[in-house]
Amino acid sequence: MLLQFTLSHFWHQLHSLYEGFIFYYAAIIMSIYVVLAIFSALAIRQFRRRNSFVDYKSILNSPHAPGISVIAPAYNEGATIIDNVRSLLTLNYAKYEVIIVNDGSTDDTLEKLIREFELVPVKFDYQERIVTRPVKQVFRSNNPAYTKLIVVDKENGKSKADASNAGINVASYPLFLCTDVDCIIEKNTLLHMVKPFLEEKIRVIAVGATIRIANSCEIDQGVLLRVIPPKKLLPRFQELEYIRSFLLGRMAWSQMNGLIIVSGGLGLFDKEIVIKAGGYDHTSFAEDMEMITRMRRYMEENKLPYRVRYIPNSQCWTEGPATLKVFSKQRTRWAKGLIQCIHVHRRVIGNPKYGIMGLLTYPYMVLFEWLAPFVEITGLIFYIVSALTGTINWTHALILLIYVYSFSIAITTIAILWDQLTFKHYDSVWQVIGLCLMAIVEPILYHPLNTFFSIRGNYFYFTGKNLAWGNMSRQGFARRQMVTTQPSETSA
Amino acid sequence: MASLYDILERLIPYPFWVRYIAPFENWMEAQPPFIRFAIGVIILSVFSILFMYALLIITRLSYQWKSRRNEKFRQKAESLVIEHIFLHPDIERVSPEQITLPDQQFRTELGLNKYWQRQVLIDVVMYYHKNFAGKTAQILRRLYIQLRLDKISYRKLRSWRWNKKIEGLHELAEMQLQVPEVIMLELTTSRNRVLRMEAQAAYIRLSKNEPFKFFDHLKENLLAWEQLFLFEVITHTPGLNIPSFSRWLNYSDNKDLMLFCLKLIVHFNQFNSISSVIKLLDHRDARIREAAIDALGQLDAIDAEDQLIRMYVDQPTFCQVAIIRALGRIRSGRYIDFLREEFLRSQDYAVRKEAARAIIAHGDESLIESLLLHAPEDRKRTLEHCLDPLIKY
Repeated sequence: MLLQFTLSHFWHQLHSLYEGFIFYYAAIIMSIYVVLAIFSALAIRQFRRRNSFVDYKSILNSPHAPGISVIAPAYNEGATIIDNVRSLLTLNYAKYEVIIVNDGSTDDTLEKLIREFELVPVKFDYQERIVTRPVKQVFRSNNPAYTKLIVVDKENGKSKADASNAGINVASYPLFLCTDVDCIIEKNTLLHMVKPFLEEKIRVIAVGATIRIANSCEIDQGVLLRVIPPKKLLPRFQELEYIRSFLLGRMAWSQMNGLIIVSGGLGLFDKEIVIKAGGYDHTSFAEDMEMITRMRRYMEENKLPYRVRYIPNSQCWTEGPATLKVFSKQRTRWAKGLIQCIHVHRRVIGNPKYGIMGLLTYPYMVLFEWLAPFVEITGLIFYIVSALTGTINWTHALILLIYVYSFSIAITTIAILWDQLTFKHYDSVWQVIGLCLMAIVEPILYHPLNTFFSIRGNYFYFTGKNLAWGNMSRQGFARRQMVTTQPSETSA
Repeated sequence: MASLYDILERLIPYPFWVRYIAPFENWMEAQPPFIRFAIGVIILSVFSILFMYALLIITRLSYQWKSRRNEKFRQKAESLVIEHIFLHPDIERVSPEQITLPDQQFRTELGLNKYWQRQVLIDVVMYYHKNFAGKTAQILRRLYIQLRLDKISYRKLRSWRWNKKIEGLHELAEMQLQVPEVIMLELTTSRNRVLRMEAQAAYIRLSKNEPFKFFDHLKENLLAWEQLFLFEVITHTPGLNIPSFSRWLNYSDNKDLMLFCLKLIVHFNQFNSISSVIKLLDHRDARIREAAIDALGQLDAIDAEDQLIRMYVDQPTFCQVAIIRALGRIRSGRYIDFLREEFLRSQDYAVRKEAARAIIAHGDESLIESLLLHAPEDRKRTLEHCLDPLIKY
């Protein structure tokens, strides 16, 4: 009897304690989101006002504009490589080169490049400033139309990081843009992204920009013709997530100079600092976040003033995973990368030596990015146990659920509002409303998936289970292009 | 919570309140604080969502409506401009001052009573003024003045909002209308850097006497972006009275201004500034020294070679690279042995590569052949890299 009373008392105490913890945890996350929303609104407003008079012709025509090397690793991209390279060669910028790193492709990627762009091997003096897998050959074109193109053929390094590092070693300009070969980059991307490097009093070491989902967009030969929100459910959720994460999160962190993620899909970097920081870590599963952290550590440890900036313009359109299988691989890898990065840079957490990154960004990443899925899962288990033991107060439980749910919809809607008030990529208001309505089902359908894959990534990390990088299988734009141009066939 | 209740009571219509909300008052008071807080957040979130949806729809629809309205008006304005200016029967025969402009017709057909109408017309006139020169541009300028559109631009210039000031400056600079120099000079030292930069550009374009006078008062940084912008304005403004930029090398303490003037000296081939540039080789800021060395190279300053060689050993690597680059540009041949030595000796790849380039620029075939035969393997690779015509850098 006594034991039963003690257990019941203990359970009751635990119940109250956990309920309180969950409530305050959620309240803190919400407060942070509100702060981020305010900061991002200020940052976007400031950006818009400062750039409304900009005449980018000044950079485009100037002999004094800094040169940029565009680095795009390619692994088995034979199907789309020609269109993608052509798209990169037509960017608006005076002084730039395109470095395609063929990362030991087993298909005809290299052969196609050689044939299409009339490439010949050159006696390139490859300086291995960052250690990579051996570079076999460097190619340049005989055709004066392709003088901007450099193709590096190297042994497969089993990671994008290794290929990017080889590209950095070959790059001749002081800034480099890292992207994926299958990303659709806006024509003025380089002009927009180089500006923060030129307009700050202190050194800017990296600049990121917004990436969007291109799954249903109209694309012709690597050029974006029309922006359409993804039609399939999974990419549509990702579009929402990207808008929220890029416009709300990263913009706000940039405003506080606390940004530690510049996406691997699109980032402009100061080559000197990247090399001094050791380049991309090819063992990392979140190499973009890891490198920014290392660059920031380098600057902080050497007491050099710096900034990592972010621009809200959508500059890059990428294909989001359209199937659950590919999506699960991607998210598991991201989650594994996050914990890996936190573990490697654990000394940064809460360390005032690392400024905002140590005191704000990393603690936030640990408490609210890494820990959140565990809190959610334990919360779910707690709910189930309470329901089974009959100790749940259903009214309170429902109110708390609605509390979190309604807030998450509000935050996503704010992000869409910021996007629409400033950039208006979509033609019709109904496309925007359609996207807003997705925010209602996102917490029910999409968020649990993300939570599950985060837990899976952590499980893989702690159990040492291998996660191959591999090639992210995509549907490709070419196929979709056919769909958009021949609607009658698809409907049939 | 009571206060939230009070607010809601005031906001919600009374019958609705009495029927649906008031019965829950006692229930609410019985709830623990965190549940009451959660309910507050739910209400706030729901209202925010509804408000944002409404805002989204209203702003998008209003944006579309305004775009369509402006586009329609623009087409009308463009056709009038084309009809009465471009297709004017006398445009080729008489001077722009003698052409009669039907400004009354513009007023009647376009209305021009509303601010947005005048603004669209300003945009149209500016667009054509930018893209046409000669008589057409002069007639467009007259039209702009006769329709009193310049008043709007001047009013913008007097606005307290910096972005309006910039708009006004843009319009007046494009239409080449006078702005009191005192006003512009004041704006060139504004704390707002966007306004400052635009004012500097407008000052260069519009100032009749001394377009670079603001250089004398420049205390703030001249950021790389501002330098690119001003460089574009200075090098593309027709009829600009270009001074000797060495003046500011000698008298200004502003390092950014010095760097900018060095670029301008090189661009305008101001060979008489070489002596002032040489003085900067002793500057304590290595950035200035590097830029001065580069400028000397681009100006083919043979007289500076000896000093460049003398100072070489004491310099940081990037200045050494600049010296070798300058020697490669000057190509006097007097220091080819020095370049050879540096190419073979230096452990720094950037120095080695620049030395190889400088040797190649001298065109001494026998030296290049000898280096290809006898230099160590890594140096040979660097030389071959620089010799390959397909490799640019």
